[in-house]
Amino acid sequence: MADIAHIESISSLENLRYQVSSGVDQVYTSLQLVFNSIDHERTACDMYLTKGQSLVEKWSVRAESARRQAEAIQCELDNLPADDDQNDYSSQRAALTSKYEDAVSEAEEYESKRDAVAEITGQIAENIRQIGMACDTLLNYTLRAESEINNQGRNAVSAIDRVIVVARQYIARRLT
Amino acid sequence: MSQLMSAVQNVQSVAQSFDKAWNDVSGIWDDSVAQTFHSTYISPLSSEMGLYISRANANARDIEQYQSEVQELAQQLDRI
Repeated sequence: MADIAHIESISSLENLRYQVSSGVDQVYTSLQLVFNSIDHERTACDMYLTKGQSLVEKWSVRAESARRQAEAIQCELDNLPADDDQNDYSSQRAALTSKYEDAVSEAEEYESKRDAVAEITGQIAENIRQIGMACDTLLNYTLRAESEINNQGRNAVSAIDRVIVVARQYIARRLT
Repeated sequence: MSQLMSAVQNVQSVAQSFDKAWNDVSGIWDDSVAQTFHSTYISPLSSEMGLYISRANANARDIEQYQSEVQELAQQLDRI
């Protein structure tokens, strides 16, 4: 760096300084965009997880309600008196049995939806976990790149500054 | 293309312009001075950025893939 004998022009050096300095600034700025994007990616999929969890809750509540209804109908069926010579409960029994079967079928349908939604939500959660890990890795790479740009890049600019000072002194000495 | 992938590609493009700018202006130096400066400051920075871009691109692609799977799964949720 000390050999400046062949440096002809301060303005060329200043141009070099500008190119290096602005290049370093641009790389630094573009790395900040990566940081912002990492934050964005971390939260982008969370809404799908929330949606999945609320759907699991929705179908669970419906399935439990249908199961309770089926149990209540079963109680009514159990409490129905046996037929005797004066009373025939067969039509009531048939109606309750049909209602019971509908309630059980409804509960099974809701349970099936709940399980399917839970399975998909689990896969979404796993993907979000992977995204989080990949974001952590990328964050570390980006922090390191930022540090290198700050250290090496700014050092390069400082080195050119020092050369410019020496070059100015050299030219001043030649002029006197 | 995801915002992240686009940000990483922006770093790549800026880093390439930086290398090109260096090549354009390095001619004003005496060869030995330019070489010393390059090997001290520019070359390590350039290799570090090259390594970063290669890792970041692979990483951003993985994230994009996971996100695309999440969107596909979300569509399955809508169909239930």
